[in-house]
Amino acid sequence: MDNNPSSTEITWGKAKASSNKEKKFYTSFFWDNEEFFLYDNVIVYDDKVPDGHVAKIMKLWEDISSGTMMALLRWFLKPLELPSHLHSQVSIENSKELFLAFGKGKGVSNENRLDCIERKCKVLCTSTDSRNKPPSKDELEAADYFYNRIYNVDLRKLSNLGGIVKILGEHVLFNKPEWISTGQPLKCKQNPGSGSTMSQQPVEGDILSLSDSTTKGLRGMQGQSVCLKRSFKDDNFSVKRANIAESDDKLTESQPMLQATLSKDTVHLSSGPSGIVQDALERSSPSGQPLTRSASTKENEQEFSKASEAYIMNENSLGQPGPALATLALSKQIHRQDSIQHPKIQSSDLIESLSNGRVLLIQNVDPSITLKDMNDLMKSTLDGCSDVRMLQQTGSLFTQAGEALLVFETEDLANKAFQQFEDSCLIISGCISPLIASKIGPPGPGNIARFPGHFPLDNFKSWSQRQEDVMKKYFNIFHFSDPKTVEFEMATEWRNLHKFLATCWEILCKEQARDRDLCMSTLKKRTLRSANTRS
Amino acid sequence: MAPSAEPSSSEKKPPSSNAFSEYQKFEEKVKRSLLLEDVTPQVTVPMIQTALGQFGTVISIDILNNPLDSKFAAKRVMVEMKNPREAAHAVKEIQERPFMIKGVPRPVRAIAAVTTMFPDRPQKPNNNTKRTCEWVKPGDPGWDKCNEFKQLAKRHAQEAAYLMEAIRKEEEKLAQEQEEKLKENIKKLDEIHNCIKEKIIHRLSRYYGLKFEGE
Repeated sequence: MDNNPSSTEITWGKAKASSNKEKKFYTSFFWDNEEFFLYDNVIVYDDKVPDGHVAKIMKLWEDISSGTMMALLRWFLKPLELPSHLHSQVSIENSKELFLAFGKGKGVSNENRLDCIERKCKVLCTSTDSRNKPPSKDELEAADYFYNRIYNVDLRKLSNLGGIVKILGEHVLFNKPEWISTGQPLKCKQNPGSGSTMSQQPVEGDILSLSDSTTKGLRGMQGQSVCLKRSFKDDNFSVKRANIAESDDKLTESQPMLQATLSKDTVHLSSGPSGIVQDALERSSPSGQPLTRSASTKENEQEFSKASEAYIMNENSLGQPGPALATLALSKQIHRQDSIQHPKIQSSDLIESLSNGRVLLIQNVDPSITLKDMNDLMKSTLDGCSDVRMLQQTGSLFTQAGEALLVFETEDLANKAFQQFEDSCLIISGCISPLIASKIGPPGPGNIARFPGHFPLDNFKSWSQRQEDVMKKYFNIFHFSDPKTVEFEMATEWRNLHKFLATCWEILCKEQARDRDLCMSTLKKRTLRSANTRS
Repeated sequence: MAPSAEPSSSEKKPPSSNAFSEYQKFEEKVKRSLLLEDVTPQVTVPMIQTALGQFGTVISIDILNNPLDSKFAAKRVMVEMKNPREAAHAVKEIQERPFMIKGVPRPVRAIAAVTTMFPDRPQKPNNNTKRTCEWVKPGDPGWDKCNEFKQLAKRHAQEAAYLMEAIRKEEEKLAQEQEEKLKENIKKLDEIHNCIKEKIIHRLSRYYGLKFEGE
């Protein structure tokens, strides 16, 4: 790369726990404002081959003694690289198909230093396996490559993915949710507040797929990254900001996610980027990922509006000719574990709707009503209701009645529905009490600096190294508290507080139940009385 | 209100009915699940996986996200174990002894799951009545009743919100107090440590004619 080497340092992301003394394993690394994860597909530079080689990152580690950053790369083979006896089974010309190497022999994978990785590459898996999310036609066209077969180097044969899924793992082979955008209005089954769980855990923690927005980091000829932010669903893009990060920015290692493209020049664009994007797009089909990808969590949600993410416009949708831009699905990291089969609604989406005033909070929902019911009912009775989410409110400190969030398409529709709720009552069959609605805005930052009850680690910095290690160990994992420690005392204080608060809550609930009964009985009496007076 | 108490096996539905078996599976899942509360917002799945792995096999982990919560509010995690016994064991252990995940000293709480915790649960198979809803307007016969209930519900919601706020404040207060206590403790220990380091104690012990046995 012709980049200034000092500006594009490679830094590690999240580490993996391992007992290996020589190697420290990681799940991701940062380079040039991008985060590369395990099982991402990348292009490896080779001066003999103009387009480079495509590979999948299988392992990331740092050699402890020498400090070198290494990766285990599993190669994809292009059709021309296959032995000639297989050429009949593949289409050679103009094909974007790749074949994943597999087997024990040579040429399947290599250990390489991280700086041989040039950039990310979009390789979609088109396997029809139920665990895989197949890409749409547009996505396929926009992707760099696709694959659904493997090449076995030992047997020198092609075969389908089915056989090796068990060996390598489905999170390795199949499409990661963030690579595929569904592009459909979000179904309500995908509710992050629900208790739906997944059958298999992806390797990385919290990945979510956004169904509508797209993201990409571009590398232009001068190594500039052009990142544009897109805010809306549907195809009406409105670019809020275009951040142009110079290539000679020095990335501060400590906060790659915030710093990222929060650079000097933020340009407001009201419609398509035209000139800027075109210049930067010399390379066809680059690929990239959002800049806020980091293992640490909630900050992402809140910083969302600060445009620390990179998006790119789809050239085609702007009606501009030019090099074909690959549009990728953005994945915004949220602290939700997600199943690969069920991409959930973006929380970032919701925050936006909250700040736009499009969300109503519905309370007093009978607990026996399921999400599906709620969904059907709300969508049919209220127009403009695009999304229903039930907030899972049961626990030791919550009321008996459930809550739900309704997302509307525009603020006017939300206001209209709110008026409706105010003027009349909406009762669901089988319940006594009507639903109540209130308008809510985005959650405030609150005036606490951190989670109440947990001490920051830096309190113990002045202690000896050994003690600090012990405390670190305690802080970073779990443990049962030892009754001899002060910590135990404090923990019991918390429990007692909780018991106290739970009793308060119980009392409130009882009182409220009594109120309801009272109301019921007075109404009954009233109707009887009026019936008597009438007759 | 918790339908899980019903013995669904006693219903005379044909066993091949899809909805029925789905619901049974769901109920079974509920029996194996537990809800963790007061978990730090920085929790990640691998953390929970290792933490609860000591009680048995963890099948799945669901970190519940309430979009209305502030940035640092506690999270809840729904964990599914391999069988009900493991889940019950985990709940019991966590309830009896303070269990901490990534952060001291606020312990994590656990309760066994109930079906109402899963809003996206499958329909109860016996429930043939489809849910409908209707708008009751001011002129309609049931209006009085509805309106009364609505006003009551509004008031209750406000009370509940107020109590939640108060609870939050209490938690913060306790956290403040504990932090101060901790700082004091650290200061005290540091002083003692310092004394030993600087041999102050040794000199004092010589002065008083006492024996000091320390490192």
